[in-house]
Amino acid sequence: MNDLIRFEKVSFSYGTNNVLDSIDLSVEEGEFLAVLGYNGSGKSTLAKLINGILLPTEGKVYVDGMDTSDETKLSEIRKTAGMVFQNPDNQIVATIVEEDVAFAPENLGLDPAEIRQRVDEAIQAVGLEKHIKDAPHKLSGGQKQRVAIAGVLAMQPRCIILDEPTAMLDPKGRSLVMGVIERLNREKGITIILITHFMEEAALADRILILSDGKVAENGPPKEVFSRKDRMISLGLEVPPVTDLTLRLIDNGLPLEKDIIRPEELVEALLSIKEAAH
Amino acid sequence: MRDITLGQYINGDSVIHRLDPRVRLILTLVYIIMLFLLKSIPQMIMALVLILSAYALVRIPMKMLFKSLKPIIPIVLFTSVLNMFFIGGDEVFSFWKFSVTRQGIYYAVMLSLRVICLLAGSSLLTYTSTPIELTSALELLFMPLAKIGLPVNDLAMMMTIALRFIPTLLEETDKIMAAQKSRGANLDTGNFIERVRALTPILIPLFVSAFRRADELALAMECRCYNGGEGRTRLNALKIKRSDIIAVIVFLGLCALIILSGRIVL
Ligand SMILES: Nc1ncnc2c1ncn2[C@@H]1O[C@H](COP(=O)(O)OP(=O)(O)OP(=O)(O)O)[C@@H](O)[C@H]1O
Ligand SMILES: [Mg+2]
Repeated sequence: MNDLIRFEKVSFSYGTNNVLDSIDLSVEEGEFLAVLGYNGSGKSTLAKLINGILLPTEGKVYVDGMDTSDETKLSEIRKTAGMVFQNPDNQIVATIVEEDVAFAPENLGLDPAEIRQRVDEAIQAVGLEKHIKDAPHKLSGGQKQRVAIAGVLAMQPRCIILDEPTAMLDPKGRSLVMGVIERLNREKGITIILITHFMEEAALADRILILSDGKVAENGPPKEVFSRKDRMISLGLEVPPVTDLTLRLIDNGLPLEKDIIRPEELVEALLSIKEAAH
Repeated sequence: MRDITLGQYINGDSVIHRLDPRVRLILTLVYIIMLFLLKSIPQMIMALVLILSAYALVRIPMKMLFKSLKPIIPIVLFTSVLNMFFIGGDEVFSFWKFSVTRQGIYYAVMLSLRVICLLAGSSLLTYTSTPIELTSALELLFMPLAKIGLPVNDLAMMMTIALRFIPTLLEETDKIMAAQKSRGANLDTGNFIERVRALTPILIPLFVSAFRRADELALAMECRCYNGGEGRTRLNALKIKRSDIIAVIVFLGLCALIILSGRIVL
C-alpha cells in the first residue's frame, strides 16, 4: 500500500468530551488533502494525532507504517510529517530568519554544512532569500508564515500538515502562502494536509475531507463535494464564492455546469457562452 | 524605537566585530581584572589608552562613549571628592576643617580612571556583540559545567527565546494598553497606589497571552524535533580562528606589559 498516513478506527476524547469517533482515513503520498469542518469539529485534534502530539484514545495512527504510539519512532514520525500552525509569531524560535529555519536540522544533529544547504534550499523554496538575515519580528505576517513553512521544510518532510496557516494573513500574504503550498505539492511532491476555513483554498486540493460530529461527513474531490450547496450548508460550511456565483447564474438561466469551483473555470465557461452567442 | 533585542550592538565589520564572541568576552574579563591589579596612575593611563585604541579600531565615535559615561559622572565625582578629604597623608592645602592630601588626590584620580576604564571596557563588549552572540559564547564557555548537571543548553535556549519574544510582548503590551484605555481605563493619573492598581488589567491579559504563546511555541518546537539540547548541532558553530589567537596573544601581551611596567617604574 502507498498510504503515507493511515487512521484506523481512531477515536479521541479530551476527558469526557468525545471529539473524534472511530475515524478511518488514508492519505496517499503526494496527495493534497483539505480538511474542513465547523469550529470545534476536531480538525486541529486530527492534525495533532498525525504526528504524535496527541495519541488516540482508541485505534491507531500510522505515518509511513510507523505507529504514532511507539515512542522510539516519534522523532522519525515528526521528521516525516511536519506541522505549521495558525499563528506564525508563536512558532518562530530564533531571532534571525536563517537560524530559525536551521532549528529543526540542528535538533536532528546534522552537521553544519548539511544544515546550511537545507536552510538555503528551504528559504529559496518559500522565496525569502532577501530576508535570510532579518529579524522575524520585523517581517510581515505572510513572510513570517513562510519562515515557519521553511522551518518545517528544512526537516525534508514527506508530508506537511498546515492548521489554518492563512487565518491571520491579509489577502496578499494569503495568496503568497497558498502559492508556496501548491508549489511544494506539485513540484516537490510533498503530501499536503491543509486545514482551512477558506473554501477557495480547499478548492485547490485533490480531495476534501469534512468533519462533523466527530465523524467524516464527506470525503471526495472538491468538484463533487462543492456541487452540493445544501449539504455544505447543513454541515455548517459554505461553497466557494465562485461556486455560489455560478449557482446564481444558473438560477438566472445561464447554461453553466454546477461543479465550477475555481474562478478560471467560470471565466472560461462564460467566454465559451459568449463565443456560442456570436 | 531602538531594537531591544540588539541591546547596544553597533553593526560593524571591524577586527573586534570579527573576533569569536568567546574571545571578546574573555578578553573583556581579563581587562577588567587587570584594572584591579594596577597600582599607579601612569599604568591606569596606559590602560585607558589601550581601551581607547580599541574604540578607534571599531570606529565607535567617542560621543557614544561619553554618553554611556555620563550617568556615572556624579557618582564618580562624589566618591573621588570624599576620598580626597578623608585619606590622611601629606597635606597639600586645607580649608575650614578639611585638609586635602597628596595621597587623597592620587587615590581620587586612580578611582575615577578605573571606573572610566571599567565602563569603557564593558561597553565595548556590548557595542560589538549581539545578545545572541553573547548567549552562544556563554553557552559554550559553561559547557563543561553540563557534566555536573547544570542545564547549560536549556538555559541558553531560554535566553534565546526570551530575546526572540521581548519585542513581541512589548508590542502586545502596547495593544492591550490601547484596548484598556479605549474602554476607559485610566492609566496615567492618580496616586502611586491607584496607578499600580491600574496595571492589573494590563498585566493579567499579558500573562494569559504569554502563557498561551508559550504553550503553542512548545508545541511547535516539539513538532520540529526539539527534545532538549542533547545532540543538537549548530548552523553557525563558533570556531576559534587564527585571527582570534593572534588577538588573544597581542592583548594579553599588552596587558602584561602594563602590569609589569608598574614593577619597573616603582
Ligand atoms: N486541550 C484541550 N482540552 C480540552 N478540550 C479541548 C482541547 N482542545 C480542544 N478541545 C475541544 O475539542 C473540540 C475540538 O477542538 P479542535 O481544536 O480540534 O477543533 P477545530 O476543528 O480545530 O476548531 P477550529 O475551527 O476552531 O480551529 C472542541 O470542542 C474543543 O473545545
Ligand atoms: Mg483548529
